[in-house]
Amino acid sequence: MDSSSCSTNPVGQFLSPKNNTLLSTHRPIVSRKTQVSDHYNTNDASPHETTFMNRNNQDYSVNRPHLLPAQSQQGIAEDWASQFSSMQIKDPLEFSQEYKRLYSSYESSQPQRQVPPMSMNVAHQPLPQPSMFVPSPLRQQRNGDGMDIDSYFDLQFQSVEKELEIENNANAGTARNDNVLDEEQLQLQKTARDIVESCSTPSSISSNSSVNAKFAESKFIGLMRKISDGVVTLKKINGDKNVDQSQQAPSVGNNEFYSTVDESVVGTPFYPVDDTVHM
Amino acid sequence: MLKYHMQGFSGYNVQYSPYFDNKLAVASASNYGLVGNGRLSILDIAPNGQLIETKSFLTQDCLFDIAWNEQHEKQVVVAQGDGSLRLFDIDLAKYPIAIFNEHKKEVMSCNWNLINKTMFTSSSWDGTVKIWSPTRKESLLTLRPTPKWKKHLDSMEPIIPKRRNNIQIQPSHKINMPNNNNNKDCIYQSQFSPHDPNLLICCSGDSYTTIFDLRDPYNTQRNFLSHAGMEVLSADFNKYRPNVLATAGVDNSIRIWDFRMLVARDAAICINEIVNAHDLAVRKVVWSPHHSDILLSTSYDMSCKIWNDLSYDPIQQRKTGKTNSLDFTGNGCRFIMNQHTEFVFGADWSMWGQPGYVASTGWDGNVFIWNGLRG
Repeated sequence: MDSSSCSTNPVGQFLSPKNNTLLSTHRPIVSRKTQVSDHYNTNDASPHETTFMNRNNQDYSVNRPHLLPAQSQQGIAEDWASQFSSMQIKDPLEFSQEYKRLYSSYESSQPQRQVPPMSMNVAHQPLPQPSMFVPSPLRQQRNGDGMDIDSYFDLQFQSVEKELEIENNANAGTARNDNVLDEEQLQLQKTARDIVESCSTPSSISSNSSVNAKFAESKFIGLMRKISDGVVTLKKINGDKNVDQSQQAPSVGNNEFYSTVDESVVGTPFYPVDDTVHM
Repeated sequence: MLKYHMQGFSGYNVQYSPYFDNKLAVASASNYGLVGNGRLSILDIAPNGQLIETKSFLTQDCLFDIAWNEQHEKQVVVAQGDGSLRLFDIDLAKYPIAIFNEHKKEVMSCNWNLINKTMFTSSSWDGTVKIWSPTRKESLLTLRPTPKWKKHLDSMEPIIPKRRNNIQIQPSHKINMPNNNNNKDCIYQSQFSPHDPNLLICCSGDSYTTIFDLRDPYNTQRNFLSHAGMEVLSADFNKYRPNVLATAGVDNSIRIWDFRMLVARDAAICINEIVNAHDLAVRKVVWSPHHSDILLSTSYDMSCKIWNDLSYDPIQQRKTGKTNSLDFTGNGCRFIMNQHTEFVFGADWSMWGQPGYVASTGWDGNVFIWNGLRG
């Protein structure tokens, strides 16, 4: 069984090596949004910041090209060469010198803040913050993938509930990778269940009998209860159903009980004894 | 009361040595006899009153019964779960001196002939009783009880009522059997008569008790339904009255029979019946070696009890009535031993010293020695 399917912690799954690629892929977008929103929190904005913000909008709008090549269908034949050459010579998206100066001033006034660069280069992104440890698919939704956030949460909760159900079954000893009980183990389980039922309500035992108290503390009844619950069962021969039992050495028969939870031996362990006679 | 605990093993039977007054042998099994090893333990009663294990033998499979060799003071035969009987010499180490391997399934009991001491018997889940000599690997005789229903209704399943409190545990190799009703073939005990070397009784899961006479060349047998369809788990000859035996079954009762009254086979009438002798099935019944009217019983209700057989007065030698299991103040139940904490399987009277000493063992791994006739 894949070990990841046993993990019920979505955070743990997210942090697993398998998902680190997702984390690194989507991290820049989220971090940028998060930190930009933090950065533009103007409640404690300084005068420098206010000045910069105002100027920024104006300068940016002024320096932006009026027409994009695709939008100017008319006059393209006459002007395309000059526009193209101008784009080659002068980048219309480049910030003005005034903008750069104000930004430097603003940056120097924020020494303790980690200012994100405006570049789109992922390699320059800051280290992830604690608020970023959210499942990566969720981040994809938050970045406008078009899926409703409520339906996404529903899917996540269903997934977690399924994982919890699988874990509970495993703890109850009813499901393991190789613990499909064979006929002998099922027969033992049925017998144990019958014994537990018989001893829990023996019709002939009077209510004030000491037998009831003894049954409550009986180790044998406790073992039968564990077997009926599937927590303890017979140890299979080498765990391999394809092996012919008649071909096995006498030392590897169903000679022990074991726990289906941690596979430890329950009760007295078996020791093989040679079939030898004193001459 | 003396106590010895066998760590990790459950006691199935205990027997005093016929040669040494301070020596006992105990047959035990790991994991309550369901799976795993068996162990033969030799216990000595030390002068200071402690029980000490002086020797032990680990076996490949669980041990269900034990019998001292009446001809040799150092030899013990054990009944093993793999269908074999093994003869051990307690002066040797680790391995047996002989293996008798003919039974097809678990050997549930073994018993040495007290008169013809060259023979012992065994009974098995395979539905057979065998007679053995310690000097031969092959059995001398194989007997198969065939009560009336088996002869005429061989192809039909018998109607054996189920009890909710029937907690008879199938040994290790039985738990994979598809039909639980096949306990009817199991012969839980076979035993020689202490009065006649050729007389043998056995009791089985089909509720029948069978008497064999080995002198009969046709193996004629007498069967009688002893516990109304319930399994008969134990039977024993009275040591003083040659025609009297006691049986115990999963109907919680003990019944006492006289051979001479077994005229109508299936309608046999017992001479005494201890109804509800225990709260659960009675696993073993043993007549006292010192008294003709006292017997011992062990049970799944985790207790041992000493009973007076009120159907017989040893002084006036006449019938006096039925034993009342509820009459604790009178002469019905004389003593209750409640120290065991799991099912009590085996017990034996001591022939040594003051009458009344009993050794008992059970699934709690304890061996107790106590006096059942005190007071």
